[in-house]
Amino acid sequence: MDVNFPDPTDWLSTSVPGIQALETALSCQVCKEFFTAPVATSCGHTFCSLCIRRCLSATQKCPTCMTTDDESRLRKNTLVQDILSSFTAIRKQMLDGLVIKEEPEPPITKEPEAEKKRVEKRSSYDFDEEIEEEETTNNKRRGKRRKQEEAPVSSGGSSDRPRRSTRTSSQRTNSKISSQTAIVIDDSDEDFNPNEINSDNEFESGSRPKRGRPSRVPETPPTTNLVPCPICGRLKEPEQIQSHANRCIEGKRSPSPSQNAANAASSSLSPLKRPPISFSNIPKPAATQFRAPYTEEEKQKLKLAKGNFTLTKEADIRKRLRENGIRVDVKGKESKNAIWARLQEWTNLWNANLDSEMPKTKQALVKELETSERHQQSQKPSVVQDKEFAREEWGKDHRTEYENMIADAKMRVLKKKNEAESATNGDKTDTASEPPRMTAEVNGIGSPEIIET
Amino acid sequence: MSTTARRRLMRNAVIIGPADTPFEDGTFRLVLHFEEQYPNKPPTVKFISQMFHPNVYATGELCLDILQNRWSPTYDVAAILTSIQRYESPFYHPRGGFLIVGWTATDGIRSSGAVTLLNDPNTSSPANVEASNLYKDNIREYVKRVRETVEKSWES
Repeated sequence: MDVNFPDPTDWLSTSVPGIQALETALSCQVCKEFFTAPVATSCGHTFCSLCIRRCLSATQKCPTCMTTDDESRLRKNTLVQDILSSFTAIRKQMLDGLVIKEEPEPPITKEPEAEKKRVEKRSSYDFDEEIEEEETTNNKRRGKRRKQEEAPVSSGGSSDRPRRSTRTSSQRTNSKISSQTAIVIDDSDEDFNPNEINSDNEFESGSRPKRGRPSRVPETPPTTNLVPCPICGRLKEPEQIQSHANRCIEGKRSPSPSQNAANAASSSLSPLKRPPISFSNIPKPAATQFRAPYTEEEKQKLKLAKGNFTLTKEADIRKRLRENGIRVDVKGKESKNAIWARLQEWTNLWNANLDSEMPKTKQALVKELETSERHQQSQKPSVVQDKEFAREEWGKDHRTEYENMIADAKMRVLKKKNEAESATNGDKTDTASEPPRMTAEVNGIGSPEIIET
Repeated sequence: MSTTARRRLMRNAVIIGPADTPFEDGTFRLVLHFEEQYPNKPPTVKFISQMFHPNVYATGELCLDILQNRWSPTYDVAAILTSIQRYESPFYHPRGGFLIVGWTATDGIRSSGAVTLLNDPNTSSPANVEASNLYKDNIREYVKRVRETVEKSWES
């Protein structure tokens, strides 16, 4: 377990490893991290606003069940948002309380601040090249999160305040792979624990995309314990309801009537989810990257329509891009496809930003669009797919790595066999005591190869 | 490194052939390449080891629907590897690769309905015609040829 990168597998070393399933259920199936501005599809699956918008742009299908869906049918999932914020608020406390003490390195060294940042997670994207360099060179994996840890020191406030739902695909790739690794380990760990088969849905998801995973459907999380606040109607934990209601009466939350009605649960998150912001510490540029959350009326008004590729004239696409201050090739060198793709990505970023708890300013979004496009343009076709790709040489070059993996795999098979045998022999070994070893593997994740060209 | 620096994510992986199949105990090496568009675009997957399988081209490329038209952004490396091999359990390898080790599912859930390759070749549009024909017409010879690749996988 790496204390800097909270992960569902953290729970495996606690006395209630099942919380791992709960935490996984509160994570987006696309980016594998806690939901950012969760929205539900018409088939009832919940994803981060930006994740699902990008998916639907690409395929028009729900990534989980492959049902055809449309961006216009997405609805904010306030319940999931509320459960998530309640969960993240008590996560550290639970982890500290439930961790098995015999572990040499219990994960309680986590700073409360780090914990909050985990909530804000992959949100930050820095346009600052220096920061990016730091990320790419120092933190080849999980750079994003570590960057957040370092942010207050290395970059002042520019990373101090989170930028939500706005990471570039490169970051997503990074974070995704790192988060996958954790899930992979979950699976393997649960794999030989017959009691936990039900929580093993990550595994199934890959093999059987058609099959729904009930534990991920927003209806199933335990909601019965939440009590509506008599003042604002938001759902709260029973223990919290008293203090929450008091704050409501004192008017500290001062929700606008419209937010109150339509946006009930989501806005209540902000006090929990946002790190305490001391404006004296934040340089001006960072502060101006954000704006206040959009109200429901604003959202309705500002929401961009996707449009239709064949029905939209090329000139109109250019016009719409230019209106938003997005770079368009004046001479018309860019193909309609290229500028359409840009407009689609802009629409995704923009609409997801409307859902965000901490929306960015338009300028910040435009800059982000440009950065992510630069990343994509600089990308060449896969070396692996290349006909010139020399398999044998690759195999030779990575021979030791492969051999280590094989040796390791064989060792594990053997270990599992022994465990299985001892388990069947009536010796009920507690598989929950296994995680420390797994944890070591998480810590030891090698950095992915980064090839610069 | 500038902002325009290209970052490619390459992963090495090993799949151990599923038990009770001709591929049993084989240690097949793969490489996965993730592009910027991942997960909206599937990674490129290639066998480094030589394979004799109806759905694997001579170049090592796989013909697997979830890596093509049935790709979903929810798939991660574990899902991909388990689709390639049935009855297995994925592990992350500390040295930077994923691996799958032989593990027979006892729960009876995992194995059903999975789209798998090593265990369940699809011979309708073969990537390797010879393997496909032998699989259909001369299973004994097919098994023999597969076992040859298995033995070869131990050496290299």
